[in-house]
Amino acid sequence: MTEAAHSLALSEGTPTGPRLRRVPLATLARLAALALLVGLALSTPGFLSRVSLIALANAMSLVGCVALAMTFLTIGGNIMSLSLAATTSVAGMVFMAALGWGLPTAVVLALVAGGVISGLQGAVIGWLRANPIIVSLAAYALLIGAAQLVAGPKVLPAGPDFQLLKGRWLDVPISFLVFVGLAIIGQLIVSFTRFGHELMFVGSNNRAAEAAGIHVGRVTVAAHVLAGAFAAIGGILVASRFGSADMQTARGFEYTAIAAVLIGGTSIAGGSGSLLQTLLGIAAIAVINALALMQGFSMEVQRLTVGCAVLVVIVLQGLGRMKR
Amino acid sequence: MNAFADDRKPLVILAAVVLVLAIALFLRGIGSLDLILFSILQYFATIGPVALGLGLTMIAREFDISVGSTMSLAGCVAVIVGQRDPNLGALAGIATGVAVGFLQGVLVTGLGLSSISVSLGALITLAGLSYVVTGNQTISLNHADITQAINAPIGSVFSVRSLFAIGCFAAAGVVVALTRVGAELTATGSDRVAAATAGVRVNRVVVVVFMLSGGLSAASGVFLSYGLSVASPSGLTDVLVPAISAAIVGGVALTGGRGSPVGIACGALTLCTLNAGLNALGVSPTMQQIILAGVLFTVAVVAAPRLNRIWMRRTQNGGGAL
Amino acid sequence: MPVRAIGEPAVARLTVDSMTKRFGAVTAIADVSLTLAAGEVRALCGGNGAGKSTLVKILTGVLLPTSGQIAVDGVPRRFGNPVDAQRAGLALVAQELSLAPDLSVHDNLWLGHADAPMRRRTAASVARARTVLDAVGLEAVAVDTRVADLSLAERQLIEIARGLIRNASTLILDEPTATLSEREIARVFEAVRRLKSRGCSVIYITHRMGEVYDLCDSVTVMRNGRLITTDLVANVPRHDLLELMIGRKLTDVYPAAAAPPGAVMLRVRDLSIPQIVDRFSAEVRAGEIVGIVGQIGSGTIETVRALAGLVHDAEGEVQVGKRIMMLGCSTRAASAGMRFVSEDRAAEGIFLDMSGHHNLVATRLSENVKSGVIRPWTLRRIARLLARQVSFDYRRLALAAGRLSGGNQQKLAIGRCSDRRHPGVILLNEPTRGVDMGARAEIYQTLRRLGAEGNAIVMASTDLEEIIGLVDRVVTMRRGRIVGVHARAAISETTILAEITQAEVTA
Repeated sequence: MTEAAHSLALSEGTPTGPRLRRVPLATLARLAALALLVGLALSTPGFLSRVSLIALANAMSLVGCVALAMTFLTIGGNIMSLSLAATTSVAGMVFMAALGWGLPTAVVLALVAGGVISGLQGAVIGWLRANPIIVSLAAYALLIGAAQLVAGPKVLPAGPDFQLLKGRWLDVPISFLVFVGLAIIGQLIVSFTRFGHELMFVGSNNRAAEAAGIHVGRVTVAAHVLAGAFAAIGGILVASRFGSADMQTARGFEYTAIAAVLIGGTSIAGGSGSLLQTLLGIAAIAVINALALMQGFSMEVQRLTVGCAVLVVIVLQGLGRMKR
Repeated sequence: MNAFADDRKPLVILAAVVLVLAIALFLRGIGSLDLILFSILQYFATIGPVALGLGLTMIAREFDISVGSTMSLAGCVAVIVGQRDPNLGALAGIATGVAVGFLQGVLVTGLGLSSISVSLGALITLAGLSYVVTGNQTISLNHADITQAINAPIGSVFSVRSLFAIGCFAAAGVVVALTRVGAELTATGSDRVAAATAGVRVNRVVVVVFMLSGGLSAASGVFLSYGLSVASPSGLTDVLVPAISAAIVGGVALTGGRGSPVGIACGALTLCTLNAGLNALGVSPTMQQIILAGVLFTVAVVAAPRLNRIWMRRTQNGGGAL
Repeated sequence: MPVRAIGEPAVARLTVDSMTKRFGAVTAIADVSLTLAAGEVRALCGGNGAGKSTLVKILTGVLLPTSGQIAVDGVPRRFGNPVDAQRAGLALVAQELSLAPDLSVHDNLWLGHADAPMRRRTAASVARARTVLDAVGLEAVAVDTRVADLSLAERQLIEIARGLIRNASTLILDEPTATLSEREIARVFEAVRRLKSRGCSVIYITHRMGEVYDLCDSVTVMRNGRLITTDLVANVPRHDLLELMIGRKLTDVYPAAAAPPGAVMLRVRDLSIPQIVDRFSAEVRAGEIVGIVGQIGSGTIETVRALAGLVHDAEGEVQVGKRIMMLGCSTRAASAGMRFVSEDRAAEGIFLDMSGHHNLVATRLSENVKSGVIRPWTLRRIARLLARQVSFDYRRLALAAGRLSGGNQQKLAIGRCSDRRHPGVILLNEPTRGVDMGARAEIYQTLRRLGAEGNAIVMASTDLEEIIGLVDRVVTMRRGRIVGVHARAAISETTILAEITQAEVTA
């Protein structure tokens, strides 16, 4: 190395320093918020009771599946899909309608429905580079209209097997087990498969990914199919819980989901993130909601709190990026 | 690239849709023309200003997806404040929208954040805020006279609402076409770095554009709520689909730098005509929603940057390219 | 106009005093001072990464200096934004042009003008636009033409016209001729001389020796963010100037090939891109470095991009080793053995928010997978190995690439191309753009080493010095066609320049 290059190199920030000294602002804020939440939870009487915890687990798992699904899309650089909750509902309807052929068939059909609906959007987004927000918005409106047209306002179960999914195992709701299982499977996919790594590259910079020979279109489609399947599982759980499927129950899930993804720490710019963090994010939101309820705040305040949290996270991520 | 991005195309599309509607109505031989024009303009009054605000942000190469929530919130604020003094209520509603736009613009420019993420955060927050200010209730405005006045036909096809929308478009059209502001707006969206190097204060342009977007959607929300004499926190969110469609059909490119208020007006009128036509033909609301969503989906696909390329390769290689 | 003694002119049009700019921990320029007289044409020279662009951005109000002062006509100024600089009389003709492609010529000329009328268009504004267009020799261009429809040369002249419309007292031209043909260069020279005769000062950034001596009164040399010297042109011999810019003997920077080239690795026949490249053919052997040179818009960059599979409508026959490669798909190009280093590092070259370690293995996922499952530890090992090969400090592998200097980022992009077991074709566009001198030398060493490992290397560059110093063979292009092919021994700056600008060799 020449002298000049060396001096430049030295001025670039020493290799070990930044990691030790500069903890990102967003991480600090998250830790502080987490501590606050735990403190509040412990000081709220009755929060740690069995009933309350089961309710919490239940509340988490349904929208949680959608949040996990959303995480794939956010990591892949598409910010969010506005149609994911509608996909969830439609998959739930398919599940209920197909229960007559037995539980396994119904589950598979619901997964296929979710995967296809979302995968088609992925094809338009990944191959044609259409704007993901607009495509998903159009898909959302289409799904609502089509579901209304084909199925009417409500689909009743064609068989009784869904009761199985409403149950508990050792006092833990089955839906919660499914949710945690999904989070673990999803995390393994992201961390340890070629697809997962390519998804990160595509999300970080899709032009650079293409130049590096990564199949941007294929990865985007795969991420959407996966997201659709995860959302479909959410739909199955929602339908089972309420004993019928409609387009109303899961309405607005996409916003809670993206909130959980961001609060969990996945970057809104894409390229990094994890499903286990999303799990924490959804837990945080569920705890906020439960606490607000127990402390006597209305549901409206919960919505506002979550919205503000999202805004704060986005701003913190922006500040963190500027520092770099 | 937007396949609709051509100065004359929005007008041609509008003319085509009008023609089809006219033929359809003629064949069925129904309705008074005034009534149909009136309903077209009433719908235009709702989605027009929103499409204009959204379209302006798109010309500047930003994207404000919070317009629906802003509209909702402004309507709620106006009705609540307007119980005592409707004028004050309208002012409060619009001021809310402008303030929301200002904050978003400052966040986008100050922190270099993508406008989609900021407006997404705003969308969720504003929705929450609407629920809080109304206490999750539908609130009604106790001023029947105002509701009456806003919706009363003027010159048999116009109303206060639609005249306001037309006025907004006219003002924006004049400013963009005839003043340097228009050149600066287009330059900001066309090539932000180049515009900044040339001396355009691009950050100011972006903030102003967000304020306009917030203000216009708020105004639309206020007028709609006053016109319906009720406001509910969840009532007005379905405006985003037609507003985006209108902007893109009106020739605004998602890549920025292309489009004009006149084009957006054409796009909005196209959708309103389509809507009125479907209504007049007795198409069910569900089917209407599907058709409108289909329009947006088509628009998204046609505006996709790679569509041409794949189509070209298909024709070259006999379909083996994918 | 004769120039008074450098450093103490009677009327200092522009004074820059101990200017320093840091980006985070990276120092872009340090302690730069210079004085410019009225009517003086000053050449500003320096290799890539010398800090010229940073200095220019500070002078035009795009960047705020970390410390240091600016004075115009003796009055201290502080430029908070480009409008301040414009009001003080400084105008820039940027290298990356600052024209909005979607606007008309008229609107672009007035765009950002501090005192433009509120009306977008008046009879007076049109007349004034016409006058300045004529003054720079654009009589044939109508004021209503959309800038996107103009050639690069015309856009360059419009930038100069914009300086005129603003009555600038100091015009900064940032490599204005990099994009132009000889005849158009003459137009620019003419415009500059006209400005000079009006008492307007000019800072003329260039790395072409000829222009320094033909056009300029004095020259300032920068290197690695510092000012090396300022002197009258007459006092600096040509050869000295080059070595002042580089900071060492020319032979130290560019290593020669150690062994004769091997078998043909890349065979291109009739590569065409509609309206850009016309029947490009070439053969490149393993171990060989072939440079493609031409002006911006001549198709060199696009040729390389097409070989990387990134131009969708490219046609022609491309053979890598023994395999025929399908054009228009980067994935197929990559699997055929093409490895691409982009000209636009931030947007396409690297993943700014990912770690150096991830950046190095982005192209290596497929070979470290067993039925879809990745082995992170192997990737980590490969990353360390590659880092060592391109002399990238492995302790920085965990840092996000965006926090590294241009040189280190480029090392990541090039390190990704190295694969000892499967040599292929390495395609580079502008491999040392925005890279400091020290890292450049290391990159040249790396490229030679990659060649020695059996890769064939194709690079497009507008940096003639680098082309002449490094490559084994040069292909010159003009308007999408190959003009000449020369072996290393026969390469000279004058022949290349003549070929790519279509001038007579004697000129």
